[in-house]
Amino acid sequence: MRPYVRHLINRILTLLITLFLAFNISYLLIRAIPTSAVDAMLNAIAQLGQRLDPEEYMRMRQVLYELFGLSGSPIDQYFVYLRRFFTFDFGSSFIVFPSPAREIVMRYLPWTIGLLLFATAIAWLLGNILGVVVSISKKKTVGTLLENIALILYPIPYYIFSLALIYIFAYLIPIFSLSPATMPPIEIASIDELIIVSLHILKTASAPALSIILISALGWWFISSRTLSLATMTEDYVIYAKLRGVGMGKIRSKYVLRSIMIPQITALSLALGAIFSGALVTEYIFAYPGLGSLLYQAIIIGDYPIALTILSLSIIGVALSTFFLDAVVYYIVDPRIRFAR
Amino acid sequence: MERARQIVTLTRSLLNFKRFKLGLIIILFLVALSVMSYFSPEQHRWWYSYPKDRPPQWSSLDLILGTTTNGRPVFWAVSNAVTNSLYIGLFTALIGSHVGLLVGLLAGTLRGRLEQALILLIDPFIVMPGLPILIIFALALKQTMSIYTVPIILSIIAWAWPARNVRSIALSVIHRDFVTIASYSGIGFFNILIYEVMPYILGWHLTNFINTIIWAIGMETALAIFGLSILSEDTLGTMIYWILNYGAVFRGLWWWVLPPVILLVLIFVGFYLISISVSSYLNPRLRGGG
Amino acid sequence: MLVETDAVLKAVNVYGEYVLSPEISIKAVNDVSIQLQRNEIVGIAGESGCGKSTLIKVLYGFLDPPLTARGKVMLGVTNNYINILSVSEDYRRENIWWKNISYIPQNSMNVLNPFMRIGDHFSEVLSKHLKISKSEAYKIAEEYIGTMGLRKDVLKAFPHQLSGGMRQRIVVALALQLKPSIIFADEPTTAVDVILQKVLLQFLTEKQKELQNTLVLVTHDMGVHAMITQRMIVMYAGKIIEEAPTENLFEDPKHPYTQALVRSLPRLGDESPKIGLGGVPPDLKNPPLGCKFHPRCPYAADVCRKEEPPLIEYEKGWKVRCVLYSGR
Repeated sequence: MRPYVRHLINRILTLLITLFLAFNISYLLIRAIPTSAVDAMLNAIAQLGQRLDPEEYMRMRQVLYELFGLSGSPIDQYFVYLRRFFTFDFGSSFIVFPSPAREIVMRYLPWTIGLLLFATAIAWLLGNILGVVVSISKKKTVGTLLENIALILYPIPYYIFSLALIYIFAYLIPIFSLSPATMPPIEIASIDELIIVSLHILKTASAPALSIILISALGWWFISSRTLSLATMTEDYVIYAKLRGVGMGKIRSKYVLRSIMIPQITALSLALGAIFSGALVTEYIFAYPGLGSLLYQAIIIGDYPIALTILSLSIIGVALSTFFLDAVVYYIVDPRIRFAR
Repeated sequence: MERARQIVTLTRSLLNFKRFKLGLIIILFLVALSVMSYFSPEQHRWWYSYPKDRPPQWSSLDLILGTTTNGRPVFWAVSNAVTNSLYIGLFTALIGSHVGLLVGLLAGTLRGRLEQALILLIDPFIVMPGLPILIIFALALKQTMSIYTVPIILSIIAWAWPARNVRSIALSVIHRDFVTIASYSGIGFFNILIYEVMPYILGWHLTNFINTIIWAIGMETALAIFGLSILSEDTLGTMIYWILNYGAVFRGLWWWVLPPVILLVLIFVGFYLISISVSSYLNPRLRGGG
Repeated sequence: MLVETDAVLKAVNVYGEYVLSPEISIKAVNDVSIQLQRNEIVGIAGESGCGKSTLIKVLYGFLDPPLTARGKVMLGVTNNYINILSVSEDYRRENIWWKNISYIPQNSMNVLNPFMRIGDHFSEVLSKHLKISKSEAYKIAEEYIGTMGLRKDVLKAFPHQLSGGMRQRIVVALALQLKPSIIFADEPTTAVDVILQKVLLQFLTEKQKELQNTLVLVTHDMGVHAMITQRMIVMYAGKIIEEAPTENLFEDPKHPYTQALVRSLPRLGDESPKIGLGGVPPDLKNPPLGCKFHPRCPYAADVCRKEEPPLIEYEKGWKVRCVLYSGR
């Protein structure tokens, strides 16, 4: 069997098991919630002063009972939960009763996706390129300096760094505005609107993105890229290139950068979970209108439908992205796998 | 090229020593701060026992860092918080990294179905975004959150990276010649494990242990910021929760905001410096020695 | 004006040192002077650590830190001699490397970039030196690869798709691309089975005959020297200890070390037991005084412990560094 096919099967299995495990863990957790809590939740909804349509209320009650295992046989409950998990249908939200939780979450989702894609891609590219360029040059001082800075940045989570950033840039030197961003409904009906929306997202995302990019690029990716570059420089084929008189620029791009891309893609796929988690907290701290802020509100009032929707969305999203990077992009990028003998 | 490598290892060990020293100094400072919490006056735990929002005053030790909007002295709160955060990190590392060690060893040394099963168990836990899962855990188990249960909950996710790490080291060691020779000479499986494989793994285990401490404190802080940690106790994370809750950043209460942030940074950087200096001290020896 | 009979490379008092720290340095090449003529196959022999690999690196001008070099390496280029060691590395890269001198490294099966197609390896150097576009370079490479006995579609392949033997041939083909006058081959046959060895050596000698260039073969394998070299230089502890035409050297080796090397080679019909040479090569950080070989030499005399014998010309074309012959 070709090695790639084996690798692909392994990745698919991992994907399926990830989803299965995560699903089951959350299922068991939900079961752990005592029934009294459900009634408390229903009271909370009533007390939130929403206009209660009796029909909606009964429907919500039904959903909550289903969710928390108070109705139906265990097997029924399991499959019902299975369906809900994969269709993100956890009933109405509490915050904005009776709008379905899914709808609310979808409103915040594009912001998070925009921030993540933007920040992660830039950080990865920037960190890698910086690591290569700085490590392969005659002057060692810049490299060592950046390395020392990177060592300090690396272990710091995004959100701690963002607290510092907020303090400096909002309080001491006001650059970023910190009022919650306006949230125009995101309806993308044409390319024009897509561009406008993207630009708006970019502008609002600049503060949280900055804290993610600085730590990610200068910390994580720089250090790993530097280590890999220095190791690659001692490889036989790089020395041979130097012997042939291949210029430093070419060596940096076609030999070293090209070579470290592959392990760095694997590293990226493994880091996606952590990046996502960090981004959630950062969003909340910057009052960025993404899933992070929504999650905070859901937690405060115990809005399980929204929290569960976000949970299943996160897990499925991250697992799929990891799979995509690990199975598809990896294949494209490594000729040893793509053109195996 | 061998000569070049010799120089590199020489300078590396010197550098490690510097980094190690720096990391150690930071950690000792933190431990000293945390030990001081045992001398804290009783009343510091109670809200509004001091006038609130006071900037630092040099008049007494209690007020050296001012007070919070809860009417508590920042200095004692922070000292207490460091203690609790360190405890949580430590306990999580104790549980999580050892579970990871066990699983990783098994996954790296066994063959066949069990090995496959273990790998397929480790990878998903690494892929899963930890925070959302921990949030649901914390939501569901809000009542039972204490300084002892938080590490257990965190360990559910914490074991995965150490397991993966240990597995890859175990794999590379198992395939080394001296182990194959040992097995040919009739030494049993467990003996090989303990006497041939373990010395290499222990170095990495230490690194994993320290990294788990860092991760756990980071995670607990994240949960706390979302209000899901132990709000009745002080941890650096819960302090940040209150800071955000009371908008202390915008109100300019820098004496309240800066200490937990700076201490968190110190914890992360200090442990990390120790972690990397230990691992790069062990590494060249592992490659060259045996 | 350079004439046919002039040496194509003259190395004078060349030193090659690995500087590990201000106190510790390894004199891998310790005052070596050699000349290379046109259209010859020269072998440099000696055991591991004698400095032969370092020597050709210095002659090539590839001074990767911590390697430093002193002395003169005069390369004949059109009408004049240029001292390779005195020009800048950029100059070497632009004008000397691959155009005038070429290098076949050790471990040649694994020196190709796994992420680049073979064709790109060729066009990389071609487009840089001939200042042509990538597609033109590719066309030239296609024709060229045919003359090397390789199929055109090899150019599209990635290194891992080819066999070890083909990769070796490609590395040789790369070295000969710009028709340099000197080619250094560093242990091309080590870690290779005898069949591939024979194929590779045949290929190398064929091409040498065709292009009439100078091939310098560095290897510890005396069998390879016997097979294809015309003249040999034997090194020990960074110095040349014997230099002679190959046939003569094998028939009647003069220096005790060379004698041991030659005796170690099994020959048809020779049933005498092989006696190895005891001892180990000297530590180049703290070399012994006097003749560097004296600790292992069966003929070592008192004078050998005190003085280093000079390299003298025993007869025309034969140099030896040993007191046994310097009396003459």
